[in-house]
Amino acid sequence: MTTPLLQVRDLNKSFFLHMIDGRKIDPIKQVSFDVAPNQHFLIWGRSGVGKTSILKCVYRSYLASSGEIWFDSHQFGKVDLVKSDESTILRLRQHEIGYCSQFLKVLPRVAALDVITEPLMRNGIERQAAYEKGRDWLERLGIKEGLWHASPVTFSGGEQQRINLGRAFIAAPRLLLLDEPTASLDSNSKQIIVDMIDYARANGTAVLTVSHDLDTLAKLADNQLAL
Amino acid sequence: MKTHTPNWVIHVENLSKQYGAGCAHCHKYTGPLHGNSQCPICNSVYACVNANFTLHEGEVLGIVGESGSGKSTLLQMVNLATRPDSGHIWYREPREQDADIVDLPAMNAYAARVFRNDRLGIVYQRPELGLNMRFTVGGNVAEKLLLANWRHVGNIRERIKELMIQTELPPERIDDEPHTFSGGMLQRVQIAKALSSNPSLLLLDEVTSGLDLSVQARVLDLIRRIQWEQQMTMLLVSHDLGVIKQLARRTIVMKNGHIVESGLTDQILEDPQHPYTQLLVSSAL
Repeated sequence: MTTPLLQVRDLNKSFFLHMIDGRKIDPIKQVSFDVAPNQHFLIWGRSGVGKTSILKCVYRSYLASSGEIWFDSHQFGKVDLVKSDESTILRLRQHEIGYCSQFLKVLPRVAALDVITEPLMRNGIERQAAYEKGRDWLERLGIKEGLWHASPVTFSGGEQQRINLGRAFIAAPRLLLLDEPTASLDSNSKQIIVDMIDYARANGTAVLTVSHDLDTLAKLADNQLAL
Repeated sequence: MKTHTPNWVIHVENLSKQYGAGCAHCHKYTGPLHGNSQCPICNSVYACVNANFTLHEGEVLGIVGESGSGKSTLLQMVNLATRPDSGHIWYREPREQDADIVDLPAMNAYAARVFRNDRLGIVYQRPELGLNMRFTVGGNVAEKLLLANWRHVGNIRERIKELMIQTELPPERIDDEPHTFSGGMLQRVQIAKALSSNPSLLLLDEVTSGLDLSVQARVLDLIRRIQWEQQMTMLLVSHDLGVIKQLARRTIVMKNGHIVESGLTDQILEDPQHPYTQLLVSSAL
């Protein structure tokens, strides 16, 4: 049996809102699941059930309140992402774990080609080689050549989301976390996303997606968790 | 469980600085819980209390907090301009195997001066703190180079012009006085001066405060480019979360002289734990 790449055990997350009399909100209660290498794992459910919170706990943008998140790292062996120090998390983000948020957030003066190639250059790839790969990806994503040197903030919603996903896929992480990748996209753009997930799996990336778009993504999923 | 242990450049241990003699009641009235860093009985100010943090090689560490939280005091202690009352600032030269570990506050005055001129660079919010407004721009940068033992005038001028190009300043203005430069250009002159001796650590104290938005963006882009190209280690103090978000991977939050929270910058911004950090994040424009 294949060793899981990601094992989430009894994950709990509570938020203490100190500005509203210390109110406590518990979006995640006792969540457990495994993601195997090369697998597409889909977490689905209505808005507000804590789908994105799970993804952010795995990426450590949120601190889990309790539970364990074991990641089978190339660099460090089995690592509990809940308890790992910040340097280890930063290293894993740089080389092994990618995250794609629901909306693209970039500086309005950085060109699309630089946005999409940033993860490659951060990993030490030479600018020219990174640009070459970046141009391939922009073409594959259906972004017109005339837009490559413009900032993505001037693009349509669908084009922005394709850039956002391209930036997450380009560095070929071992685990890719996708937050609502098909939300508000037309059918052509959705098909591009579906093809990209297929391509990533074929190239050894496990994909953990949270979405409520079952029509598009359920048929791609090897495993599912309903919240 | 294996972890990643990058080389550190600065390791701060139990660092404290107070102004005033202190009294038996100070601990009852000062600190983040009481929202005060000044004792109402003896008027002593607790600028920095038991600070602990590590700055790794090639990283930008942000220090954020409101005015009077102690972030600049902390920076000035690392800059050897303010002497701590207790604690250690351990320094290890980056990119050197088996480098000696030095406790900066324990250095004698001469060694501290050499270290400051040679290994540190600092950029202040107000250019007049970092520059002598009566010297020319070239003279200001040359001052640091002379202190770092550069002696050949031709080499010094060549190095200054090189730095001016690197910091997007017109090199033909090397002999102009600072008051003829705009605010954004003066920040770039300070950056050129700070970088002149190839420091191993760059300290940035509210570098974009008071500049208009387009100038802020240009200065931040320049700092980001330098960090990227030279893998420069930086300690960045700012009250602006936008600046911290753009430059720092890890962040420390200070209030009333205490570090109340530290973590990955995105975690501090998206899932702040301390009540003060939540207030700070919710106050961002």
